Amino acid sequence: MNTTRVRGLLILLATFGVAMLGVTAAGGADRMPMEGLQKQDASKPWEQRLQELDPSRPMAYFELGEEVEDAARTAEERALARQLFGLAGLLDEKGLGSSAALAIANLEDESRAVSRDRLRAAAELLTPAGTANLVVNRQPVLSSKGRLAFCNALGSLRRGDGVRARRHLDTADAMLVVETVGPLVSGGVDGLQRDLTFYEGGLRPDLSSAEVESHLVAELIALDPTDTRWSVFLQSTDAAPLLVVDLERLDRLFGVDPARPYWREGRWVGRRSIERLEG
Amino acid sequence: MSHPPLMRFLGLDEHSSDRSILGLSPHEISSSQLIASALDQRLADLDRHPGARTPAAAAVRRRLGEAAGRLMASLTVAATESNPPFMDPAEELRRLHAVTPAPPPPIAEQLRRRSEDMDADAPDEEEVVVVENSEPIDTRIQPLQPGTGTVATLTEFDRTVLAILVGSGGWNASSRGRLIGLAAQRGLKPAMLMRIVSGLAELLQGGEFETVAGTNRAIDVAQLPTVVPREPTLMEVRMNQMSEILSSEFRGESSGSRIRLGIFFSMIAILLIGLFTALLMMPSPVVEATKDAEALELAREQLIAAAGAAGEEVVDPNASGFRTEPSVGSIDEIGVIPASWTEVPGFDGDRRHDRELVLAQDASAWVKALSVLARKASLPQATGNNRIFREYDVFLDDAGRCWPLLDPVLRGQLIEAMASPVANGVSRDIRADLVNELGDRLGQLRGPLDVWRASWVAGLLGTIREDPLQSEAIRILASELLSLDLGARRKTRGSEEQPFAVTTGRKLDAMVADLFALASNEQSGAYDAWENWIQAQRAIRKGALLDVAFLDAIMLVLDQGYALERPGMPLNILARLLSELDFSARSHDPELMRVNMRSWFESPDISSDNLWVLTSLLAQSIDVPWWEDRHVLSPGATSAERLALADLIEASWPQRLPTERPRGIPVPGELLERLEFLHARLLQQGTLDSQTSVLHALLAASRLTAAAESFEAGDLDTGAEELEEANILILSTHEPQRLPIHLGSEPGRSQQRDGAWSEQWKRSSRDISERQSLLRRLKQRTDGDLGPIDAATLVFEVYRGAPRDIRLLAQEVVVDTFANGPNVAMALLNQFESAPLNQDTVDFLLRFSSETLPPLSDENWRLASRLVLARHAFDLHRSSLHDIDQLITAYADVLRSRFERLGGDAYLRNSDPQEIASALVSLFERRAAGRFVAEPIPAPLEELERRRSVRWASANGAAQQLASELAALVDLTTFETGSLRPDLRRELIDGHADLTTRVAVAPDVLRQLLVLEIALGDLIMKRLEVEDGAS
Repeated sequence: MNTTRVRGLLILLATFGVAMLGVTAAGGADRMPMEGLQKQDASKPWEQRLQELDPSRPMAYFELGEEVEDAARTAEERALARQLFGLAGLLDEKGLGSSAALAIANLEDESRAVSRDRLRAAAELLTPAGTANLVVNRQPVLSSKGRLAFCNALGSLRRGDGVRARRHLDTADAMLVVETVGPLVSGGVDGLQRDLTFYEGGLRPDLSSAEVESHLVAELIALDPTDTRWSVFLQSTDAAPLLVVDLERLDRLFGVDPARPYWREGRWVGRRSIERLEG
Repeated sequence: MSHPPLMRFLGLDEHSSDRSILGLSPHEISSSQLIASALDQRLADLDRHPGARTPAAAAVRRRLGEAAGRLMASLTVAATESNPPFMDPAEELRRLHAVTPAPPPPIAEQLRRRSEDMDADAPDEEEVVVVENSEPIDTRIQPLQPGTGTVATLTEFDRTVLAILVGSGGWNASSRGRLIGLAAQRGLKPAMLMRIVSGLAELLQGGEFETVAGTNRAIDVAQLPTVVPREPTLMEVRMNQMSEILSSEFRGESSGSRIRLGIFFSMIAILLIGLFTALLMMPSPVVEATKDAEALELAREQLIAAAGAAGEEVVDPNASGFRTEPSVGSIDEIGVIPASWTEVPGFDGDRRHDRELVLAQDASAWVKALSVLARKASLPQATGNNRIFREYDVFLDDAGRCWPLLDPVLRGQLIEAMASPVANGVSRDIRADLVNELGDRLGQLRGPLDVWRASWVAGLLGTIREDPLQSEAIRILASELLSLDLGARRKTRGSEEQPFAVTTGRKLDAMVADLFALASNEQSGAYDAWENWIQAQRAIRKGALLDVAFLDAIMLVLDQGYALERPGMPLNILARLLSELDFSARSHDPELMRVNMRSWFESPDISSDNLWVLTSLLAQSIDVPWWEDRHVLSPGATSAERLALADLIEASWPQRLPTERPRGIPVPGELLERLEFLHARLLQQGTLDSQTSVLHALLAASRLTAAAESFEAGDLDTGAEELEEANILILSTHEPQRLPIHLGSEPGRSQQRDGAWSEQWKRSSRDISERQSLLRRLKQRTDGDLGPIDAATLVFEVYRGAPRDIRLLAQEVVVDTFANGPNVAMALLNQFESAPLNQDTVDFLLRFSSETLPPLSDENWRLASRLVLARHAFDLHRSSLHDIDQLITAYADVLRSRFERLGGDAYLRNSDPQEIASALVSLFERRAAGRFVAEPIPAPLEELERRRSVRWASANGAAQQLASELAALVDLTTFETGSLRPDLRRELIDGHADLTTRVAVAPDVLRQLLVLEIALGDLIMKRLEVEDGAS
């Protein structure tokens, strides 16, 4: 076979292969966003009802969302419920916005506490005559005995009396104080636990200025959680920002695209797609 | 008044060369691929033009094709002349026939036809023509009889003719021209030439021949260059080897290779089947995109059909608005369709100027250094001292690179400082040389920063020219240098303008032509240069004077003869300049705007096409709500139509209502300019990487807000003071104190060896008198603290010393001598848990801390006492955390001052900033309640109150509470500003929405506070205006 033809055949095959891969990748990349693409399994039991949804009837979205939420066992099913609540809330912001925000907040787990608080705040703002019933995630209430015991433990540790320090922590809810305030101490809770077993018999830790500062801040917070000093309070909350709800971007808060309220062929699509599909 | 097609679509003169038409440079080496690529590029550009479907565009396409054809043709001639290598003439001939798009008949046939045509003109045979060659040339041609066995010969001339024919691809215009030229050169008549050509035709048909020297008989083979084969490269060798190997495999010569082939192709087949299957299973977004296009096309067709049914000319909406018939009509007709572009025209050049900002920080030092330089220049030793000039040059260059970024007051000082060495120069030569240094820098624009450099120098020369402290000769010299560069001096436009501003402004105005040239040549850096130009104009001009500068620049852009409709830099420049102007009734001088607009329509130098672009931009791209499609001029409009539209525009121009509030509260220009400058500097501050730096910026922002509030209230003095404070904060970084402000004195610091006293104490055992003596000696110490070991020993005695006298004496020592000792404080805290619960301990703590403690019987006594000790230890510990408290205290003080100046009379229980902010909110609510607003922004007052409640409920701690209250202040200030400035409604709505997003995504509460405080100041600044902004 002519070498030129061999080269040509190889080049042709290689080009074809690259083209196929490219088309495959493009097809994958252009797929619907993940939040719009529900796995077939999650939506299957409600396929018919999903297809019947129409943005002119937002309540249907909400009711179906409640059914899905009740039956949800998997993350995909909860995502579907969230999608339905979100669409209901955006399609009828005045009537269902608040309920939708609360419903989505209930679907959030502990790891998304900030998001949950934000959704609850949104629910308050979207309520026509809302009152400030908002309950934001707060620190647990700690006993004064436990707080004092925690501070005594820190003092004992600094003196090199780890045994005594550990005895202090057996008092009341001192260990809960350790979990709440302990992260402020340099090295965190784990570092504190290690030091308590290491420094005893008069062996004192050689604390740097920053470490001493962290001890003092932890004691101040533990002894007076309502300390108004900004320096101390900012350290204890890590300067966490105020929850602000952007009502102009509820779509972002709910995580849905209101331009795609129709369910067809396993994904959320827009009106134009419906018109083309249904003539 | 339309542009010629080439100018309109390609920006070229109608007589441009083929190379220019295709966008090739004159010296570019051409190849067919290059020409084809250039043609494709031009056609693509043409397709993107708004008038792509017009007859003029079709004419341009034809011109492009013809130019490409001519260049292609010239390529083959050039190839011939440069003797391109080729191996086999017959093969070459066949190749030429194979590649030509419309292959001409074989050369032999062409030649035969032409020779038949020319037979009538054939001269007598045996005619000898004397040519330039030394030998007479016998042009007799012996017809060659095929198969006769006669060996014919070709001369060098014959071979040249044949080479031309072969290289030109046969008998055509190109080869004909070449051959006629060759014949003329050799003195041959055309008829003779044709005989030679016909002889060659016979030769090619016949076949065998050999050369015979000395005759011009057209039966020689064309003289062809020989080719020296080159060595193959390593890559070629390897490729050939691989090809050989693969070739043998693909030939299947062995069973093994056949098996391998079978497996290979089977795998490919499986892969392809799998891919196809996967593709078929996937949902296809491409289909959606295609159907989107189909839907759009359908809509377009329907629109066209509707237009056709209405009897109107069918206009393709996708053509973006070009009509051949000018039309100025109502919107009910299918009238003028404004131009539209795929991207919104406009640009943003580099506004950050990070390096220049760093440079500007040294400006204060330059002022001082220049005064020293001025003194040096005044000394007799200055004569011949080139160092003075070198130093002056450095200041000149540095200041030239950053002058628009400087505080106006500092800039004024620097200008005086730059003029000072000139005024103080000891000799006329030195003074003149310094002025000439300035003149040398008035030159060309070589980069974006030259806009600032050159205008700075012009301003300095203008200052020197008008400076009464300068000698007359120097003033004349400065004047001459300026006249050379800028022309004769015009009357000053603004009576209040300083000489620096006047001359700098003239230089900037004069630069517009050069800046436009950069843009029309699509040069990189053009946008940055224009951005610098705009920034420099804003630095020296305000109000109507600034508007005039932009209007003049627009005029120049419009009348350069450049077709602006093409997407490109000139269009973007025009759009940006338009966006800098206010076309509403609230512009600084609406009459000025109207007059200028009319003058553009009346000017014969501005084409209707360009006015179409201008009016389209105003209709579609710029937020001028009253400008509609009916105000768009048709391209190609006549003078009468232009004037008619100008009348319509003038009639539509919004008028200021007598009941509306004037633009804003008038504030002296210098103060407002300073406020805006500092506000901009605050926004430009780099990364704030610590809590203290954020709070420092917050304090500065609060000062600016206080200044703006004072100006609004008419209290210029207080406002100026606040500006000064803000200036100091913005231009400096926070100096860490690391101690609480209330401490009063430095903490103690042990100066003696730690542990020495403890050793003595241990040695003293139970010797009471010795121990008392040791304690009394401690009392004499002046360093204020002990080391950790000695502190622990002493504190043990403080809590549990025995006997009681020792304990009381130890307590007295701590209270009197070591109250500010950090180590002693830590020891007191560390050992407190084991302190006995007795009256001595209580008394000691009361004396030591001076704080109120619960009674001993209280179950929280230990906790409260430990808290006191912990706070004491914290206060004595050096830490940046104390700076946070200091800055917050300072911020609270500013809030309190603002509250009191605004008329707040509520009692403020303490100095917590969130409480003061709450008091401000109540004050603003009362003010807002007195306003009636039909469409309040951002929301009605009740809704704002509800939002405030929700935010407060979600706030955790003082910092978030303050953020909540500042957000409420922003809401209320937006409400009030919206009622005072309804013209800013859209800007306020968009700004509030943007602010909400920025606050929502801020990483921490301190940045939320900063964003909110800056927004507050910005809202109040919107209510102010320059006191004397009119020209």
